[in-house]
Amino acid sequence: MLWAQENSLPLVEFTLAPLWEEHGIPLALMGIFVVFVALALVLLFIRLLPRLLAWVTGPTSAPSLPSPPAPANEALPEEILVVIAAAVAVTLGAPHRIVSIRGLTPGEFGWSLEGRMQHHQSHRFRNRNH
Amino acid sequence: MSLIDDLMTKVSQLYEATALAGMESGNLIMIAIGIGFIYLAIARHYEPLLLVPIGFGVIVGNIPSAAGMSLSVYDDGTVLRYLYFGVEKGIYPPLIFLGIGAMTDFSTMLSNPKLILLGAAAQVGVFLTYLGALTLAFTPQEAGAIGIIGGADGPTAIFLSSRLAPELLGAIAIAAYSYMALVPVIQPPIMRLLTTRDERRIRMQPSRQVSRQERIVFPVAAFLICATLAPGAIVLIGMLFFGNLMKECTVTDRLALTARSAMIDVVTILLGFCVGASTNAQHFLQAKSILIFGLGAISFAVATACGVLFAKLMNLFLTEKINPLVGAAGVSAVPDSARVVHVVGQQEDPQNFLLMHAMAPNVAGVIGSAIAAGVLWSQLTN
Repeated sequence: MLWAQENSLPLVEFTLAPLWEEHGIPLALMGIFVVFVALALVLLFIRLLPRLLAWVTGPTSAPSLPSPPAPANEALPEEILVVIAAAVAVTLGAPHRIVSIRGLTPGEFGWSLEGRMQHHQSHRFRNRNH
Repeated sequence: MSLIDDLMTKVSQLYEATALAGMESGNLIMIAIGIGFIYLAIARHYEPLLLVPIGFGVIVGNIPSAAGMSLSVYDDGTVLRYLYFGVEKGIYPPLIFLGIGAMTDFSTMLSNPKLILLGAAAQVGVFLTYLGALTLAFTPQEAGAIGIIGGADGPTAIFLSSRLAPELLGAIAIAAYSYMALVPVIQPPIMRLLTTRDERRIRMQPSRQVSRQERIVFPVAAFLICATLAPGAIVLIGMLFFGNLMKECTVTDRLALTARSAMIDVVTILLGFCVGASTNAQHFLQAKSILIFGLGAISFAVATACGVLFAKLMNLFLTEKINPLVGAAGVSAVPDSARVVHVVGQQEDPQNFLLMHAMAPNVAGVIGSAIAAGVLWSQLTN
């Protein structure tokens, strides 16, 4: 057992008695219950939210469906389109046609990784014997 | 001789007027800790926005005052005392929550709501540590303030301890921010211990897109739900969702921009510096502080473990499995915890992108820890 130097009181005093009182286990269980119920209700509300919005605003504007990619000429300024077209031309080389341009979804961030991998590979040491 | 005596008297008075006269070994230890914080922030990039103000505050708070010159946060009428008022009365934390709300994107949570439950599971660590602190003879109020360290949310920990156990505020705040800075050190071993390699390689489906209407309705509705169940959380939750509403509605861009930039920066500086300045050795270097640091570490580890284990439990019932690593982000250290999940996941599968999935329980953890704090505050206030 550790002891505090200044007054020789035990540094670690262990007792199970407070656990069985009102502010012990009952309070902890109640706290866990409230947190879970509150967040479960938030979960339930989020599940229902698209339907609620569809009901309020009409079925044609159901927000749960992923919105189709906006036409490039409406979403992006001309300068960006030119830069993207130039990048595609440099990368592909061959004759090509850009059909659509849209923002990445969270699941498509692999493109960033691909770019970084290519960048790192450009620094790879080469065997001078070959 | 009298001239020499007068000279010696003056030298003695000069010495008494310096900080050296009142300097104790405890002050030197705390100054070393403050310098350590600044080193970790600058050299290792451990939460620099927090550790630099706190570290410098620790140094300032441990320079002993000269006789008759009261300067510390504990002396009435001093500048530091007035600044510390925002900590002591719990003013700064809600303002920080306002800024956090204005910079938080709940889209990931809205697109995959089942991950919200992981934010709740991690709060089990708060209440288990609360029980642990009770067994170590802390009062219920002190135990509540210590347990909330497991929420891994500095402002929440400061808010609750200022309400329940102001005498422990310095130790709790330093412990909370220290463990937040150590998220990349503490969490990965626990995550690896509780998961198999195959589980860590689980890939999750891309999230759906969330409409603007959903993002606007959510903060209002979520506030009503949370505040109804846990009125004690109104201050923190209210500011969080108010800030988020300002961000998402897009008609108050100026306000949202101020809340998430200039305002939160100012409050962070004041909060960090004042918390650091409150760690005067005479108040801070006590046996209780050591226990608080120990319990804080346990709380943080248990919260992480609860999140991971609950994710595994959910997988027993889900057809579309979730990567259990994501459960570790249920602690509300935003976004560090989510980043750690992403890094650990990529160590097993470099093509696995868990960051956006982990942000869902991460922001849910912010809400969950604020609700937990609200419950403890309402139940333990005398």
